[in-house]
Amino acid sequence: MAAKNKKGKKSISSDEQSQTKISNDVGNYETHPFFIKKVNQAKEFLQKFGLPQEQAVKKS
Amino acid sequence: MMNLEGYAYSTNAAFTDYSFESIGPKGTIKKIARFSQIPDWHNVFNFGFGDLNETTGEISDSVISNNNDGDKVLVTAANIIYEFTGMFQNAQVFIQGTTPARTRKYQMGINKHWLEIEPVFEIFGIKEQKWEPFRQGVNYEAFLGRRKTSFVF
Repeated sequence: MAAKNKKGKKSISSDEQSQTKISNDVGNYETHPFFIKKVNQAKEFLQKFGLPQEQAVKKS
Repeated sequence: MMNLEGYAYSTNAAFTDYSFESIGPKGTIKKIARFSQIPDWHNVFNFGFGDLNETTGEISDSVISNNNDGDKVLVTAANIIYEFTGMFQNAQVFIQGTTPARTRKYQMGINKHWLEIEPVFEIFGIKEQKWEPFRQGVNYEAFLGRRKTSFVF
């Protein structure tokens, strides 16, 4: 059973994480400038250094 | 995943975006995490994570929240990564902090919980422009994690 903290907010242990709440309230931040910037930085990084052990395949 | 208390979180139907609330002396701070497919890199996702300003819609990962729950937030982020990679078993997750200090914070989190992380994930770090298997006590510029294929939960 999930514990509640002093403010009554539910906290969960790892065993309970499988019951993740799916909610439309979360939204989708795919086009948010913050994440666009992050993904571009990551892409630049990978173009420079590649991946470890080449197990992920770069699309041609 | 980790035998530690994290915040409860929600995700969207695609399991790409997650939110939870950090609660502490500075009040309630909404955190957003997202796994973004990196264009041209098959099955490689950037893990982006920051504080949402619900008034402006801005997200920042450069603000130091000082909400006295840093470890709990890190555990929650780890649980989210665990959840996502459980859903997408071939996903490789790229993680880099905004600043070296923030990257170091992630590294300290990995170090601290290494005994729980290591059986489940392969973690690599980049050092001096080369990827190497994660070693405790080494400073890295970025990380890449993926589920160990032989791991059976």
